[in-house]
This record gives sequence, structure tokens and C-alpha cells, in this order.
Amino acid sequence: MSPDIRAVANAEAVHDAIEAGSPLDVSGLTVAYDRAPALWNVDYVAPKGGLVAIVGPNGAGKSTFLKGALGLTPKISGRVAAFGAPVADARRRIAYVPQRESVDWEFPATALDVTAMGLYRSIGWLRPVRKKHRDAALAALAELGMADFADRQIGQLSGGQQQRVFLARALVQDADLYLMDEPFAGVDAATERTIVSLLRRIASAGKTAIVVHHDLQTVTEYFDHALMINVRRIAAGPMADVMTAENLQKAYGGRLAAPQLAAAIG
Amino acid sequence: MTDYWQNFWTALTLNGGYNSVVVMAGLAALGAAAGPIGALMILKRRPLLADAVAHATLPGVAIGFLIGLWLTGDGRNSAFLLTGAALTGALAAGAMHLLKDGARISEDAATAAALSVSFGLGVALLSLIQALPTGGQAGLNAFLLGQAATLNQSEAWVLAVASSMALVLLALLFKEFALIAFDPGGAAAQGLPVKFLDLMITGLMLLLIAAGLRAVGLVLILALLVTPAAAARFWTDRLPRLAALAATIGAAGAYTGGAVSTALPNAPTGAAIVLILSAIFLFSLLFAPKRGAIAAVLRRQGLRHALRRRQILVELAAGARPADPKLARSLGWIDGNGSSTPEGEAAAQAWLRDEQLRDRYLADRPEDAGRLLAAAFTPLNDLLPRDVIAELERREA
Repeated sequence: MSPDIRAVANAEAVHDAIEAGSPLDVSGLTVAYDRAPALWNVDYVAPKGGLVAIVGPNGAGKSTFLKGALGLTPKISGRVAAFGAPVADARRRIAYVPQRESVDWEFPATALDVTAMGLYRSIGWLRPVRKKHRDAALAALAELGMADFADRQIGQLSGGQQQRVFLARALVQDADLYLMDEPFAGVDAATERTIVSLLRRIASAGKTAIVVHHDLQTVTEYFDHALMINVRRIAAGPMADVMTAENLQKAYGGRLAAPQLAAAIG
Repeated sequence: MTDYWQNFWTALTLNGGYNSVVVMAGLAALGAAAGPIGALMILKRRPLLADAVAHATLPGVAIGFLIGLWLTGDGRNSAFLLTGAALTGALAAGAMHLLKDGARISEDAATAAALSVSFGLGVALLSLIQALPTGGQAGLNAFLLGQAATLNQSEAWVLAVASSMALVLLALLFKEFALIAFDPGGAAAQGLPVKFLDLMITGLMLLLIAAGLRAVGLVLILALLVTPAAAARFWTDRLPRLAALAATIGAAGAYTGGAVSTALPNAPTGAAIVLILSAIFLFSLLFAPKRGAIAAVLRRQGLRHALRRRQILVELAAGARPADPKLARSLGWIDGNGSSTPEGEAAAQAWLRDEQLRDRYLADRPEDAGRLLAAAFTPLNDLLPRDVIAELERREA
């Protein structure tokens, strides 16, 4: 075999291996802030394509799971792979939407500026943001109904609008895996529907979204898989298998009122 | 007096000779780089880190003097002085980082501790040096408040080259610096080396402080870092413009300050720069069109007027006679008899619809009440996305 052919064959083999890999494969993930563990020995293999909700009570480590998986929080132990490769090698295929409160919205930037930040890695070092990048960012904003607000300073947007900007920033990355931290928190009804239809488009394109979601009333309607955690993993899999009275009891204890329970189990 | 103006003008127009030209160019580059770096420090909410690092260079200067004296017999060797300054500055930055992360002390407390300990040490060493039976100590005072006019050739070149280097690096990496200042978590998720870039910002700041120490002085160099960005913030809501404006203000302030100190050799350069920058800041504070104080007063008056108009619309919508007929007539909403005109009716109806949609929106999102109220006189069409408004209208109907 000539070196060229070998290189091609090798590239194909690597490609197949990546194709075979789950979008997110986490095993034994343990994270601790100070002394108390925030997440204890969690295993999870995400399905290829589909919408996954991470559910659990407050302080269960839902956000920590995303941060730990992405390597944003130092983990004590555990192994994380994305698309069959170490996360560090798969970053371009992953888009992360942090909690809205995690940034300062008084920052001197417009909705378009923030959306274009999603492209910084693909633009590359030492290169400026060009018109084609701004056009792509504008298209992503338009998809979230925010085209009219592209030039607005982000501090002047409402909570729902700010969330849409964050989602546009993720969308413009054209990723295969989306990790979203409480995108539904504190948004208006119309924004909630916009987010749901965005999620559906992600799923119908064969991509995966893993979303921290705290509203048990809507979780079965919006998502088809779930990972239920309360520091430890309680259950994971198709929605109906996870949302059982027994699992909810394990995760939430007595904290769940009967109507919520009924809604969650469906 | 005319001599002073003559000297000032000579320096300002770069006719003051080779050394003066290098110093002036160096100061301009220093200010141009310090402006955007200061903007980043402010956005990362760490402007006082710069102050602590600047003060922490003093023991380094003193130690550099002593080592220079010991090795070469002359303490005023700028290589030793600046290396010492950079080292203790870096040490203080590292100590603050460790105190904050390791000992879980708040950032403010860590900054205050590093600043006072290192500056105290520097002052103690300085008084020790003053008592030594050697020459050259007087030059050290220039490090406190700056003496741009007395820079020697190598000091001038260090200032110019180091500042220009920092300016180039800053321009090349500004896109990434901005991202980590806004959203370090998102930046790390994209795979940017956030810690390294963070260190680069601190490193560039340290480089500028060390480069500008002799010319601007360590007590007031914070002003060169922070004031241009603070002034620029009044004029723009976008970071690239903010950075460019801060660079321009910083360069202009440092350059003019340098010329002043050339004209008045006893005037500390640091003080001259601070006064010029403060004047620019004050001007911005007062006269900036959107965020300035005068604009705010005008806006409040506009708001009062809008409230009076709104009161009339409330009365018209309720079919009542306006309590302020003069204003209502001047707006064309009522005729001479006090009954409403078609324009008045239309305005009242439009207001009513807007109000109902607002109420409907706030019923879903009470947490937006403050924001919506603050924009009570902005038409809803300019406040919310079209799909949200369409949804509100659908439900209202």
C-alpha cells in the first residue's frame, strides 16, 4: 500500500470508530467541590440522536454533570468520551449552553456579537470575525426569532431573549451534541415553545441534546430520554422507564407533591 | 511661562530630540496598550489586581537596586531594576491567586493583603537604601510618581519596545480575551485554553506596568490602565469600539502627560497623566450622549413628559376629560371644546392595546416587570420579538 492509500484507509478507520461512538460516554464520574461530593460515580451513555433530559432535585449535581463531562470542573475520577474520542478532541462537535446567570449581561456586546462568539474556534486564532461569520450568526438569531434584536446590547434584552441569544450562539456552532444547562429557567411561554421547536429540529437532524430540566410537568412532553440523578445516578434510559414512581421516590424522596408525580409518570 | 509652553510644544510635536521622541512614542504605545488591557481588567471585575501588582513592584525595584549596587557598584541599572519589579509584581499576582483559590479568602481581601504587604516591604527597603553611603538613591523616587523627562536612552527603548510588543499581542488575541472575559465556561467548552489566556492578560498587564514604571510611576499607573476604559464605557456598548476608544484615550493621555512633564521637569509624569485622563473621564461622564449625566437628566425630563401624555391617554380611553387640557390640545388629541379628536381616539386605543398585551406578558413573566416598566414608554413592538407579540395577541383575542 502506498502511504497515501494507507492514510486514507486509516482516516476511514478512525472515522468509523468515531461514528460508532456514543455522543457522550461517561463512566464513574465523581466531582467534589470542597469536601462533599457533588456527583458520585455516575455512568451514562447517551443515545445517538434524540433529546435527553437530566432531572433530579436541587443540588443533585445536574449542572455539575454537564460541567464535569466537559472538563470545566476538575473531576476526582471518571472517564468521559464524546463520539468515541476524548472530549478534548471532540470539542468542535459539542455546543454548550451555560446557565444564563453565569455571565454578566451588562457586558458591552450586542446579541450578534455574543452569537458570533460561537464561531470563534472555527474562525481560529489571529483571525477577525468577518462578514460571512456575522451573516451566519444573524441567521442563527433569526431562527430563534431574534433578528430584530441583533444590534441590541444584551443587557437590554429580557430574560427569554437573553436565553435565545445563548441558544443562537450554540446553534451557529453547528454541533452534533448540544449540552444545555437549564435553558427553560425563567423564560416566557413563547420562548419556551421556541426552545422546544429548536430541540425538535436538533433531534430530527439526528443530533443529540442533553438538557438540564427541572420542570417535571413538561419533561415527558419535551424529551424522549432521561438521566435521573441525585448525586448518584438513579436511573437512565427511555423516558417511560425512568419516570416511575419508584425512581421519583428515590430521587426526590417525599419532596414531590402528588400532582407533580402524576404529571411526571404520565 | 512662555518657555514652558515652548518646551511643551516642542515635546508634543516630537521636536525635542532623539530621546524625547522615543519616550513620547513609548508613552503613546504604553497608553494605547494600557487602555484595552484595563478594559479587560474591568470586565473581569479585577481592576484592583493591577493596583496591587503595581505597588508590589516597589520591593523589586529596591532589591534590583541593591543587587545592581552589589554586582556593578551602581544601583541605577535599569535591567536589574525592571527585572526586580517584574519579579515581585508577578510574585504578588501569584500570591493573590493562591490566597483566593487555596485559602478561600475573598478576592478583595487577597488583593488588599498583597498590596499592603508588598508596598510596606518596598517602602522599608527604600528607606534602608536611602541610608546607604552611596549615590543614585534619589533616582528611585521617580519610580513612585514617574519622571518621563529624565529617562535615559535604554530606559526609553525598554518603554517603547515592551509597550509596542504588548500592543501587538493584545490586538492579535483580543477576540479570545474578550470571550474569556465574558464567558469563561463557554470558552473552555469551546476548547480555548482559558487559564493560559487569563495568565496572558495578567502577564501583559505586568509587562506594561514594568515598562511604564520609570516613566509613569507605580502609584498612579493604575489610572492609565483603568481610567481610559472607564471613560470609553460612556460612549459605546460594544467591546471592539470600547477597546479602540480606550486605546486612543490612553495614548492621548500618556502622550500629552509626557509632554507636560518635559515642559515642567519637576512635575511627576504620573500626576500629569492622571489629571489629563481624569479630565477626559469627567467630560465623558457629563456629556456622553446615552450614558452621560446630562443625557440622564434630559431623559428623566422626557420621562416626566411621557408620563403626562400617558395620563391623558388613560383619561381619553376612559372617556373622561383630560385634567391637563393644555397639553392635550397641543398634542392635537382634544379640540377647543375639550372633546377628543379622531387622533386622540386612535392614540388612546393604541395605548390600550399595548397596555393589555403588557399585562398579558407580565402575567406569564412577573420577573420581567421591572424591565418592562423601565421601558413603559417604548412601544411593545420594539421590546419583544414578533412571535412573542403575535402569541400575546392571539391569546388576548
